[in-house]
Amino acid sequence: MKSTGMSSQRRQKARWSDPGHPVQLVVGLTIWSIWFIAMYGGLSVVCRFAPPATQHSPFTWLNGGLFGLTVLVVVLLLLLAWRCGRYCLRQRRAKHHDAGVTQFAGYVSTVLYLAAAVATLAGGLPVLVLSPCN
Amino acid sequence: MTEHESGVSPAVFKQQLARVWANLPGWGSLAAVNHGTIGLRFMVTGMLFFLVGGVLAMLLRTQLALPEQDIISAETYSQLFTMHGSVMMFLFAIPVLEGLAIYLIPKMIGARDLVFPRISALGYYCYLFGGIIIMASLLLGIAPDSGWFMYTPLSSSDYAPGPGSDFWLLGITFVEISAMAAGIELTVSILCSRAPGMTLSRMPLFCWYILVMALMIVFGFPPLILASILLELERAAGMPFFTVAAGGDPLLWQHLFWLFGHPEVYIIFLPAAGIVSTLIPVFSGRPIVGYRWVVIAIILTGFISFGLWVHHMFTVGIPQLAQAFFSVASMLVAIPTAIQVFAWLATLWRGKVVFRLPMLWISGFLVIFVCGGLTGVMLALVPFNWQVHDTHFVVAHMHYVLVGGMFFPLIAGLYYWLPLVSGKMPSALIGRWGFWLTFGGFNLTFLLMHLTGLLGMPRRVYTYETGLGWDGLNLLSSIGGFIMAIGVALVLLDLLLHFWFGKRAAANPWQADTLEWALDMPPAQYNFASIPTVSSRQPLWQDPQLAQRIASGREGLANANSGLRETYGTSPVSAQLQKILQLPANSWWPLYSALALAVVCISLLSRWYPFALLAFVVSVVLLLRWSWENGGHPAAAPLHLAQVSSEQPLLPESHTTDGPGRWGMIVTLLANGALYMSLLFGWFYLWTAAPQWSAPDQGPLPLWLLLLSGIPVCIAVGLFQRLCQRLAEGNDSTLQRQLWFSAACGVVHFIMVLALFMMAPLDYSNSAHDAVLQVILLYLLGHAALAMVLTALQAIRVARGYVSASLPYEPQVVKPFWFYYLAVYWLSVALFFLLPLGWGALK
Repeated sequence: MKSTGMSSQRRQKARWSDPGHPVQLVVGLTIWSIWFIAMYGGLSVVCRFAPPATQHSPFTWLNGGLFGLTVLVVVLLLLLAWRCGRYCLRQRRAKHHDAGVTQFAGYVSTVLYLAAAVATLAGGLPVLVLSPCN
Repeated sequence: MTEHESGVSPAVFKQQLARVWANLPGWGSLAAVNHGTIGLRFMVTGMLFFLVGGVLAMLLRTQLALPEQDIISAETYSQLFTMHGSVMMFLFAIPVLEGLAIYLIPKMIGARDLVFPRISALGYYCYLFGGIIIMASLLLGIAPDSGWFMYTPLSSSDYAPGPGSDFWLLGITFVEISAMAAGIELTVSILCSRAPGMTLSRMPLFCWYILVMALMIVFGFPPLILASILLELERAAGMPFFTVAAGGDPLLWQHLFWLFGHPEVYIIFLPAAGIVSTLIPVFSGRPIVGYRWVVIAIILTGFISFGLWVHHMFTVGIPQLAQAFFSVASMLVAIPTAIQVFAWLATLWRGKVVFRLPMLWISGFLVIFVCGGLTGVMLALVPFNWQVHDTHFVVAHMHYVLVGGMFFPLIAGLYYWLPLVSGKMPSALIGRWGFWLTFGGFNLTFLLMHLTGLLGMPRRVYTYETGLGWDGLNLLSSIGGFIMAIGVALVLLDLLLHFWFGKRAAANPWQADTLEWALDMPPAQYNFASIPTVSSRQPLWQDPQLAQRIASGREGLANANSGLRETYGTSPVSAQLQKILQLPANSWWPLYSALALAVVCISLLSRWYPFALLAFVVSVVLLLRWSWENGGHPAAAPLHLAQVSSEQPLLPESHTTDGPGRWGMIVTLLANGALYMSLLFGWFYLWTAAPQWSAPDQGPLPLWLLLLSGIPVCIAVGLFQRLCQRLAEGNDSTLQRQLWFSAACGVVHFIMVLALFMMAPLDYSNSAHDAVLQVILLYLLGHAALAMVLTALQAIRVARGYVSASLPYEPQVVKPFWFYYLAVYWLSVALFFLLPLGWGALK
């Protein structure tokens, strides 16, 4: 058995932000986690110290802010999914040694970004129908 | 028999390997660190605890079989259900699955051992001693009686004045050291020691499951460890984290507990699902359908399961909108589970299923777990959850998920891998009887328990009046429980008897596809005589001759000339061959360290604090002494490259700047970070939610000293970073001096933080605010001391020649610790001391 050549080692040293990098497998859901904490934490802090004047309606500045955050995060995740998906399609034609791994990571990451976007949207929808602090 | 590359016959070469990898004889086997030995010990011990937990369950069902019985008193009943839950969750489910993973993972990834074998052994002893301590409370009649989730204030000193809660808090924390050890070890082993060519996309699904489970342990267990420490501090030292009158909040316990507790359900489920994903393709005779989708589902489950914890707390008075976030997340987690179920069904559909004994248990799993999952979705709905909260419906759901989702696949897995462990086949007849009795008994017990719950029977009551409509259902549930017990007893009997009476198993008896079946049955301690290169997800199906080539030493690393335990180190993603990992052999350090920690635990239980402090110091000394035999130490690795036995130009880990040790440090720091974040969560939670939280307008510590004491840390980290960089470039001039200077900066910083700690006017027994600050100062002090000691040890090791330009590895391992501490120090200054200065305005 021979150790692999320098060229493939250089290829392996991809940046973490590259769409085929395995870190991308967890970036989308990490963003979802941060969004989730921000929603729950933000809601709790605001309800404790500065609750909106309207207590029985979802149409408050707080709900608006939370929904705005949700939309922003969903858009971000969809953009990242698109970037990963495009990379994945390009990799299909790649011939080099580790194309299989990067394509695998790209494909899985794309779906995980989309799943994170769906989870964010689903989690954010209740702010349209429920009052914030009751 | 053919000769392999070095010219030695396979038989001689295997004898050499066997000598290198052998456990010590007799009592010396207590010093064993090999993953096969440790994994089996975990599983056997776990099964013994399972028997205890099962007996407790039968006692509970006996008491509930008829109304108004007084076979067991209310007090004893509370102890029994607390211990049943605690034993099954902490002493059976997690350790057995960890044991299975410890046993199997190296065999599946083509390695000879896990990368930190001594950590495995330490984990086992912590588990064993912790388990014995917890069980001792039961024998002494002073077992915890506040439920397996130990809610405050029920578990606090006022309502649980005896030592029961202390046994739970200290014993379980001790056992959790074991879980953390396994989590870190498995993560790094899977990432750093797979066989060459086993890329992430070719990794067996079981390894994906274990990787995610291990990472979930790393992030999921620290909240409970923190909660246990805080509650024990409240009980022992009067620090009122959970006492409303002093600014604490009992709900903080629930948050921290369920931050651990809900992911734990998936920590238990994922390895079991890994067994299912391994067995179904084998018995269907085809690869799994949707490999990539199953990986997606595993990762999704790992993340989303951390966003569900509040669904255990829907009745505590949380705003509806917040409940909705958790309700949605609770329903979302059903999606990745469904993806896996559909992948399994599709594989069965497309394959030719052979219903051997393991497959029977998999079928039982599919039925029971899907039912449990559906009631889980019901419980995710807030209004329904309110209706059945704390009733037997929840108990039934939990058992459908845990027994269906963990126990059935576990037994399937045990039957499946039994021939590998023993070389013999179990009895199909006894096994089938065992299955049907367990399956029937289980459904009789718990299907009916759903109805009992819907009729309003609360959980955790030791008896009930007749005429409430619960009598018949309870009787049938108890009968079912005993039928299930008979079934389980038959299974265990079968597993035991097969060692004597089982038929000899043929090679690869199930025609499986994964590497462990390329080994001898039972496997040698070194697993692989030579390490294969993998080019497929199903290596044995693709290359039926692989097992013979491995055995005859025609694959990689086919020598034992160095006399050291060696395996390959590969890159985490592409599994490219990078280095040789030289692993430690038998060692007494894990046993000694665990014994010292057990003494700490027992001293704390008996409130003999000076002795506990002494034992703690001894533990630290032992652990540091153990760490001395690492890296470039002659006992761990050869000091000179000439001593390395390799047919190829591969360096051992200690001669490089990266390796499992560094990865292990990073993963450990992730766990440490999770603990710190949990404390931060507690701090903000008390600030925003505790009914009587009060904080002084002025911070209790001099800000200038806090800022000043951060300067030496910055200097130490800057120096350490520079010396590591120079070392990596091959420059070790003035290395020792620089290390001493870094250590000195650490000393200066430590003294300043100690001064802050000593002079702080913290009223920690009357104010939750001050108690939290006390804890964070202790946290910083401990880390500062450790950074200082580790750096000083590095300087000494340079003098001894264990660290140098040719052995640059160890400082690279210590470096992340310094960076972590720097980040945590400044974060603490900002969030625990600076931010509260603005709280007055918010008040």
